[in-house]
Amino acid sequence: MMPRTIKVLLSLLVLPGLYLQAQTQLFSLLPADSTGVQFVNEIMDSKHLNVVSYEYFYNGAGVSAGDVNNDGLCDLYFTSNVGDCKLYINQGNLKFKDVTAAAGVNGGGGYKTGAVMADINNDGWLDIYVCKSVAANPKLRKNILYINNKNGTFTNRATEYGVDDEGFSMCAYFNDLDGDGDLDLLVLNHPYNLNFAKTIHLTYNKKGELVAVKDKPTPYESDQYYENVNGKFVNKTAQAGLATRAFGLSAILEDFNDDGLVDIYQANDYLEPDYLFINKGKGKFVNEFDKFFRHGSYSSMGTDYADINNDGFSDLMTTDMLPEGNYRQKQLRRGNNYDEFEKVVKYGYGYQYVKNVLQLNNGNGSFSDISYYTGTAFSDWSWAVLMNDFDNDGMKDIYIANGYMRDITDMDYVRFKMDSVKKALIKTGSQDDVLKLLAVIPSVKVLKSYFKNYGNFDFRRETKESGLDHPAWSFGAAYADLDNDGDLEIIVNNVNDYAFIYKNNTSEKGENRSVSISLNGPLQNRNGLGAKIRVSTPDHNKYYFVANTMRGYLSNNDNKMVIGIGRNPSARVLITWPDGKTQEENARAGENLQMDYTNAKTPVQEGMKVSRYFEDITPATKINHLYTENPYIDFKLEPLLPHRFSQLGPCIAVADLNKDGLDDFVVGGAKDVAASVYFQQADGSFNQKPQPALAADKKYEDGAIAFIDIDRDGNRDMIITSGGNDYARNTSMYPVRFYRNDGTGVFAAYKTGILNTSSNAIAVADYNEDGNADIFIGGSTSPGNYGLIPESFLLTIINGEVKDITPPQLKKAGMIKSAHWVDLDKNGWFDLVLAGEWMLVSIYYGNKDGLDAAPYGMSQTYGWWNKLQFADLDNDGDLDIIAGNLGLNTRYMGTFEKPVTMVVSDFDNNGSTDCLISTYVKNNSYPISIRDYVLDQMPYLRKKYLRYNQYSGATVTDIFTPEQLAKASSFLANNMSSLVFINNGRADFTLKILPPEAQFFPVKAIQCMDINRDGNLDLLLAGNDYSTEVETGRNDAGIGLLLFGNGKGDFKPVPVTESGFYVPGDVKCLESISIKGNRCFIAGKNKDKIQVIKPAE
Amino acid sequence: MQGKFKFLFFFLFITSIAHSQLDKGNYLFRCNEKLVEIIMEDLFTPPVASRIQVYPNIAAYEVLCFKDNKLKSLAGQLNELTKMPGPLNKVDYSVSALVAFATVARRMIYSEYMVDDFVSKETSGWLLTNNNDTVLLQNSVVFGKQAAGHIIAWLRQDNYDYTRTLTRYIVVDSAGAWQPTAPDYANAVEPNWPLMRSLVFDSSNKVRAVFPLKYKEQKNSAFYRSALQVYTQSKKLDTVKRMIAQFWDCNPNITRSAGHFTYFIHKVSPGGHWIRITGQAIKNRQLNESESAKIYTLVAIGLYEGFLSCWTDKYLYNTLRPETYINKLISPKWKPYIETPPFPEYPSGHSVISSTSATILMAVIRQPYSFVDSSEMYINLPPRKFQSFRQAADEASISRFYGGIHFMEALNNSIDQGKGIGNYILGKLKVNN
Repeated sequence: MMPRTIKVLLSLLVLPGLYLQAQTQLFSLLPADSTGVQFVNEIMDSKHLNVVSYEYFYNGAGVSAGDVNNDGLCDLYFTSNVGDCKLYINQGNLKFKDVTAAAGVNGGGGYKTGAVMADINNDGWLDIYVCKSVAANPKLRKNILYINNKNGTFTNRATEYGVDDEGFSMCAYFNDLDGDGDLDLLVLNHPYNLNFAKTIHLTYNKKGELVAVKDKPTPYESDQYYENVNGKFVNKTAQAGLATRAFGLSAILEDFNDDGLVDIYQANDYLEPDYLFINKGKGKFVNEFDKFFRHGSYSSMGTDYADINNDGFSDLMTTDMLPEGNYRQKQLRRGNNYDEFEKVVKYGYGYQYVKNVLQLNNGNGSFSDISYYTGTAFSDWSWAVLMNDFDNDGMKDIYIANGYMRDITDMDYVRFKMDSVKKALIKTGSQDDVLKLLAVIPSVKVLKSYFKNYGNFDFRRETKESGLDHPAWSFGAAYADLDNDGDLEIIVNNVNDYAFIYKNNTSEKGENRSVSISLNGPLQNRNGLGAKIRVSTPDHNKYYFVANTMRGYLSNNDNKMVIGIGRNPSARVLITWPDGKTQEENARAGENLQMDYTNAKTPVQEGMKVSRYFEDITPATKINHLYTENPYIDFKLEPLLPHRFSQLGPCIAVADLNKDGLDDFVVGGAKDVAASVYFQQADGSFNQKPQPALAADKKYEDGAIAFIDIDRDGNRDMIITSGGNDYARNTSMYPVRFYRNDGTGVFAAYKTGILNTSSNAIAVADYNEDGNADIFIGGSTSPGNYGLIPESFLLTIINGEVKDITPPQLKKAGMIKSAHWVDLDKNGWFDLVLAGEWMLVSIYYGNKDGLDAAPYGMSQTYGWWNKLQFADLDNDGDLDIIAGNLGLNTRYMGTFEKPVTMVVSDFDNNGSTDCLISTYVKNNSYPISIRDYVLDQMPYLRKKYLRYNQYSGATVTDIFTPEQLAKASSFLANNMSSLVFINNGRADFTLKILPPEAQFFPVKAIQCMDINRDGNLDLLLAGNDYSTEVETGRNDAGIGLLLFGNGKGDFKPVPVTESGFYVPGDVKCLESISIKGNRCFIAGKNKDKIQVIKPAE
Repeated sequence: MQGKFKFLFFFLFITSIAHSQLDKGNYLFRCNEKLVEIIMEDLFTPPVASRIQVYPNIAAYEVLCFKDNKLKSLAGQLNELTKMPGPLNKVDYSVSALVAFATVARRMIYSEYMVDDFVSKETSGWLLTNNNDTVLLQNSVVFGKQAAGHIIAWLRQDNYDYTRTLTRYIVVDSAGAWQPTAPDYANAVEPNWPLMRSLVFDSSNKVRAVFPLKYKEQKNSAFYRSALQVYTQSKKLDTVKRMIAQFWDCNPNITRSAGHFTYFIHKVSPGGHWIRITGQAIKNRQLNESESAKIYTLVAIGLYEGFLSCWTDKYLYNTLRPETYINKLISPKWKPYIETPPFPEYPSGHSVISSTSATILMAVIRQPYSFVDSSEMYINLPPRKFQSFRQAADEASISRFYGGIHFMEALNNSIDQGKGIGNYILGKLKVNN
């Protein structure tokens, strides 16, 4: 027995500790007992309704926040799928009272999903709209419109208003969709039948080609668009072009293209890609997803749209279902089958990946997914996503509610367990016992995800640190300042758990302040939905918000906005009402600002003269060159490759080939396509000449092109290396080819087939000053045997004869992507600089005796280098190095502490090379590939990994024996950033990492030029990689980037809206070319057209 | 006293069961049934499954050639198979045959524990009936493993490992070429299987399917009419035909999908189905060990060669499935009644191997023979009655048409191909001294 006094003492010791901890965290979970919100969305499997019979039965319910009794305190309405919905009135001090019965708002029968609040009849009181789904009887699916009677009671007037939609509704969205000033309604409906959700359905188009079916929806399946006509809602779905048949789970109604009209982004579950319906005016909408986005999330669930980088453009996030940790990710990831993925793309479903996407709004109508860079790609089965500034530091954070009652995508369950349980049930004659089948599906409550925004795209997962580490199955979520203390609480609707109410402790900490804004909108839109709010603070920060309460998933946020302003004492608030009228107010920190539409004025239209640094001059050059790619799929031979090597073209080389004083260029072809030679005309346009010799060699893929005067006749002769991976393990199909120029730019075969290697890099110089050109040919990959170091060569041409003079140190110098002769140490002798995959940026310093035997390697810069460029960036008279790398917007994220590694060997002794790449997940390194791919490459491992769970936690040392690993070669990449190396003298460099914007994409091309004419060189970067394995997804975030240099080696990104340097696509090269005497840039892109860009004059 | 009596009784009881099991040759039945089960568990594709079925049976057969001099060794008869060295000590050849079967099987399958459990159950049963003669057991096991080693050394040269290192199927877009099909759009199965070593054929005497229909899209073309035939019959599929399509589906890996909820059903492969039919016949006719070994081995060789010939032609002709053709030219939404397996259409694998099996079984099982096939009860399908092996094979063949996964032309041509292979094997292999 413990003496009572000691017990008391202990509790005294413990309690303050707990209290202190709770205080220091951003959020504290308030107990249901204390708030009075004892709401639980209870779901039970039954024989007829369960996850097997109907998956959407488990999709949870929402929470709607708003002040329904106009007492200045935000109230809460929770939907319950099968039980009673609940209305809780905020009584202050975070105490709530359940008034459901008296208010008459329990939602009635049927299966309730989302609920939103809006003042639908413009009487100054919030009404509630509740959606219903699942039930077979349409009567049970009639959505509800609870009109606020202003006396604590509500009456369902859905039929009267014309909004008693009987579809399978997930959620509803009110906004002014037809631009007449009042609130229209979009109800998000979906098909009932889930059987076809993931299957491609084909039909013929008018040309008789097979295309994906765009089925006409049945009445209950399609989204419904109700136009508000004098207070009554009229269904105009068909006229608006909004009849769809998709599993839409959430939507965002905001202006995506800055034309003042409200557009619709719809997040679609399963195969059907998301939609972006652009408002064309007059109540017409057209889906233009592909114009704005390069890929989407596959099973899009929740969405939010908010400005995460304070550039004045909202950014989009959609959530998907892959877990964060290694084990669950492997266990729950069903790999993309390559052929299926290709079919999906072919039939127009676009590029979709099972991951969250965070689409950064570039401001020019394009978006770039930066979910890998920000670490937000994975957050388990995710529903609501809310992006707002929860700690009032001026930067919007991300909260994600997640979880699913059954891990129905657990691969052991999918592949084996379900089958064996079914067969066992057949044996006992109880094959129809669904509940027994369900019982074996794992059921795991997962942690929510909270990403704190530290600015400059630095997001960190701080779920635990922020006091949000409560495992649950969470669905809808909302934010609202429930205690009016100037910070946002988070409210979450959980399945089979009490709803979470997280109190925000920011104001108690007293560090960051905020301004609250309430809108008194026009008479037809009392809460000012759609208003754009720009806030600026004395410290020159700018914040952008849009008044839109319907975000996330099935839920509604309070319409009072809380805008964090850090430590600023005040802020200036500029509001643009939906009709374009503006008004500006000053607000003190802590103030609750009332913005009244009646004070708004029509702004003076300023003639906006946009001057940008670049313009696209492709049409004027008349270059209409499409780089076509032969269909070869490297993964079919090497399932564990990180990307294809058969898709690295085009290469472009520029020179005056016909001695007319104008720059011409040669663009290489893929396998089965000949290289093309373009001649510049006096007017700056280009044309071609037949090139039989090049056509004769079209079976080779062109890897790199260089010009050299082989026969010393004063003409530019040509060397082309053969690249690619298409002729796997056939080493004779990668010849270095020499062509002679007849003086008019027509080439004839000179020598070929002397040396073979798959190469994408040539460097030419007379490094030994013997009067003969020395040609370095960098091997890029060993075709069909990734991981074996390819051969590189050093050649020289003596009296027209090609001689191999490769010194031993260069024979196996690495998997080279970029090779250059430059004099970095200014000793008058060329140095050879090499970079490539799994390589250091390596300098072989040269002197009169030749090249150093070993390279000087920039320490800790093992990367996947694509491209090097040299220029004097700091105006000190020597050349500095700009090095383009993979970047950091990828799963292959290597850092000094947490490198990407690869082991290579013929582990199964079957004559083919096996490579296995590992990356860090949290603190351990695991193979990046899922079980099925690894077993496909190394079938012998099937015996070891009979089940997924045996593999899901395995590391390389678990998979291979020490003896196997001892024989294997190991590779390392510990720096995937694109960098600048400032040259301080021989073997002395200062490394400067380029800003985040330069890390969003693989830098494949680099040019230097003083664009803003400040005397300092600026950088032009471009690149992407569409050839990646399909689990990671394409690197397609690159749109070209201009960075201004300060003459000290530091660079500042210039937004594309300002630079005009817009070079999207699968860019492989960007070469400098003089057109009509102006320095221009020519971009080569895989499976795309050549683009020519000119700096503005 | 009473206790002792009880013990004795128990011992006798066990003995009689165990004895009858090994002695009547039924252990080969159990071996083959177990192997069918493991192949299903490990999700092997049909051609790979046929390889796993043939080598263990040959191993057991070659061992039993030492026991029964009426059996003629297949060494010298099967390509590159050499004579197996005999045992050094006295052995129980049945145990050695079982161990040889299991050891070869164990190397080829994935779930090794299933083989180990099986062998340990069999050998402990044997000990009980053989006075716990661990020495004899040991010697028999050693010989069984030695025999297995001989077979394994031989099977390692069959190009299986090599074909693992080759490029998987790359979809081609040319007219009439095979395309991946719903719901999984899976990679084509074993495109490099034609490179596998044949057991009985050399390059000159392969039994080939006749040329398939020329691909045409015109409505008056034979190809179109053939596709239309598949489509039309699918609209009037009656219960009996549905049952037949299901019964012979034998797709080792079926996908069931609704929303994110997907799972796979493992089924016995076509070859497994015929191994089960063979086993039923061996049981019904109460055949002895030597006869069982002979029949299983011949049927398994037929399966292997059937798949090899068929797969060679499949990737030679690379024909699209009815689903692809019908979706393109007749009805974009049409789906076959059973799931289209992921490899080219022509010829029909199930038709070839069913026909080969029936040809061989009719030669080695005393005729007339009618039977009830209960092979598919594990997936809740009722047994079916057949008047002959041929009738069963013909039904297996036509089931592919009912199922909507083959054109009619493939079926008849494949039956002929199967007969040719079966007859060739029967003619070539001498199993009796």
